[in-house]
Amino acid sequence: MTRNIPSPEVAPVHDSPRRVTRRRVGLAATATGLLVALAGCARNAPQDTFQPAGENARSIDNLQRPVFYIAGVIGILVFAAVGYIVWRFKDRGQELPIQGHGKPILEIGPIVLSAALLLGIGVPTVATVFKLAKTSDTQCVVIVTGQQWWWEYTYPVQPGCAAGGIKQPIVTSGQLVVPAKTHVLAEIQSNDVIHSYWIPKLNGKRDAVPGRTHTLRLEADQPGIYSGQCTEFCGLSHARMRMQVAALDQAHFDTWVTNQTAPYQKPTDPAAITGEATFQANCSRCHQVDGMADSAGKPIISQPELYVVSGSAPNLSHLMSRNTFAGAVWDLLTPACRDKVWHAKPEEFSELYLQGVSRECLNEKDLRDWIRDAPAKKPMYSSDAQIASNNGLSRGMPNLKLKDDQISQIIDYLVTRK
Amino acid sequence: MFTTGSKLFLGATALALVATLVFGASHGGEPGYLGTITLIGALLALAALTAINFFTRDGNTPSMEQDITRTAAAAARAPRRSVAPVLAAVGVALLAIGAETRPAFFKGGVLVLLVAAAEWLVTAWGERASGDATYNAAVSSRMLQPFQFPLVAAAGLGLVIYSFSRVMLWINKSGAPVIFGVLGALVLVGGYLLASRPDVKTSMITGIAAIATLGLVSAGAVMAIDGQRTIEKHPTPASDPAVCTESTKDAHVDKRAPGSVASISSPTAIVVVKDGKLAVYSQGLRGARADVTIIRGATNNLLFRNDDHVARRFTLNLGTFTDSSSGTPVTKKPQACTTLIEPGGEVWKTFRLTQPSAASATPYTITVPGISDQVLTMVVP
Repeated sequence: MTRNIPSPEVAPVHDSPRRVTRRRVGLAATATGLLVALAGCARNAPQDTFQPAGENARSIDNLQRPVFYIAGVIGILVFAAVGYIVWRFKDRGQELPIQGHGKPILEIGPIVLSAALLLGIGVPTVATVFKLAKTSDTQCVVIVTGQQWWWEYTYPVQPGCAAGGIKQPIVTSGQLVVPAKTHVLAEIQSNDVIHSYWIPKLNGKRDAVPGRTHTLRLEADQPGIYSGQCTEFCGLSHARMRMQVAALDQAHFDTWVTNQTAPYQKPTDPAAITGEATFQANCSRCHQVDGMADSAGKPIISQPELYVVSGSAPNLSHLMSRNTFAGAVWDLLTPACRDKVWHAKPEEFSELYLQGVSRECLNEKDLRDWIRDAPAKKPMYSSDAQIASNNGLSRGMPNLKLKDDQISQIIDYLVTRK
Repeated sequence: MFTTGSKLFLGATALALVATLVFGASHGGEPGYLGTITLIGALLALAALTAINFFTRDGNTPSMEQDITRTAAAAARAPRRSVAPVLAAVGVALLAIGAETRPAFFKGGVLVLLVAAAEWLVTAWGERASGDATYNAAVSSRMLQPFQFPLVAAAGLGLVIYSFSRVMLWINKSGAPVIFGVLGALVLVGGYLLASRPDVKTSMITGIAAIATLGLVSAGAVMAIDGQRTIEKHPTPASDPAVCTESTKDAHVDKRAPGSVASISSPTAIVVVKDGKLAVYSQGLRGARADVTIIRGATNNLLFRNDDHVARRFTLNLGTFTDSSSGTPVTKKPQACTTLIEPGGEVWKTFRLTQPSAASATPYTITVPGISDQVLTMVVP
């Protein structure tokens, strides 16, 4: 008699939900880690400190790379050693080993090695710090002033910088224009709160502290645009406080200086003439346009100290010689024109940059939106209620409640400010 | 008819009623309304509590339940000694003193009363948390001590620091560093001696510390009442034309008055007078110059150095402006100047210019009274 012995049921192999979740989390973590690591390989990153484009940034790079490699190797060794010890001497119920006092050679050895390593890193670090603090070889001085939320550049009267020197101060904002292959000394200040100036491809960061003057060396190897942003939290629109350095070859820089110091050119186009009057009525109480005079011929002097906490507003004398506005956040150029300039070859960049912004290349939409309602575009402490609660002072540009035709007139005028 | 608790609440309600009537009648305007409304709120709350307590007869248990007279929370031992009443008395005293003298005492009184109320409430709750006195003591300590210890420590430390500061401010300026040094040395030696004698009794250390603290607090109290030493207040460099244009007239000013932390390490430029010649040195610009660019709106620091053989002062001539706001044009020529600087000395001047050079009828300049042919120009874009 045979017995039917039921064959044991073989359950299908399924992972438990916990195991599946763990595997998914692991995969996601690995993918995220890889993504972050691979992001470091980007070649077109405009603010990559590992792609120095000047002598000072290269000094930092030459220092940080070996330190990074040494620290990386040591880090891996330490983690490997800790991992091995954790795995090898895991509590498996074994007896405790003999508790000795230790081995002096194992204690002193790593201390001596660490001290030697720190000394090896410390000496070149101190040497680099001194090198970056040097000011005696300066060829061009620019005073950089931070305020919420834009940077102002003042070129003081000086014998160097341009051929024949700078005989009258130049004030601009957003984009710092410098001659390439020149030792530029930025004297950094602040008008309100602490900011920090950083153009990663040209040098490290330097804080802008009210009441102090900090120096920062800048030098670009070749003409081009070098981007940066404020790196000290400074209020609502800290993330929208950017800047660029536009390095020009010396000849074009000289031309730029000549343009910036040229006498005021009254507009000749009827629309721009109307725009000048509208500008005078609405904008000139804060924004200075050098040489602009009222109907009686009296120079119009802006008084931003009566309206803005920082006591300063961008000088618009040559607005259209720059490529960006409102804290270098928005382009004055259309995307196509911008690409043509910003991605030009170094030998062509200076010429293209000097062309400034033409009517055809003007990014009118963003400029129009900005003039219509600046706080809607860039968060600022400048609503009517906030201004009223702050002794009538605004942080940033308030909404002037201009009509569309007034905005058009102002744009018609600003386009002539090259 | 009225139980003990009800009498307390009834009294409090009556007090709130009187306070509301008195306050409401004596205070008008918005603060009066607010205060009266607050007191009416307190009155209603107390009246409600009185009613509840009266209705529940203080929460007394019925006499039939005999066991409960031994096991109920209310049957626990009589309250222990508490610091809360004393603290509350101190708070009330401070309130009274503050009402007549300084608001700080009044605010301190409110704070002490709040602390006393919290201490009293938790203690009272802890003493009746259960019928077990040991458990009650433990639960009371667990609730109170995490607050008591840091508070008492902070108050004690604050008292010592305040007393010490009064002592140091009472002693004359030259004696203060000596006393400070001697006291520091005594603490160090005392600490060393105690550390080297581990067998010394705790009570002895406590005694020494208590005597030292008492001495310090007593000295602090006496010296606080006597008042601090006279501290000279030096005016800052002048903006008086009578002084700024004089080459010898000296005003009694504090030479380091503008020597803020900001100005100690970051001059906009250094202005030097040497052998009767005036020059300015700016960072990054080589050699002596006759002009300096000053940023409009920013805080600027100039360091003035006198390398001449006689005392000199530097004067900032801050333009010429016409003020027509009153109807009649008034010409103003603002100035600012340093004190007289001895040969080899330096003085800082911190200033802010809000108007550009173009707004002024005359240039911004730096001059030195007594040297008429030397002028430095400040260019303000």
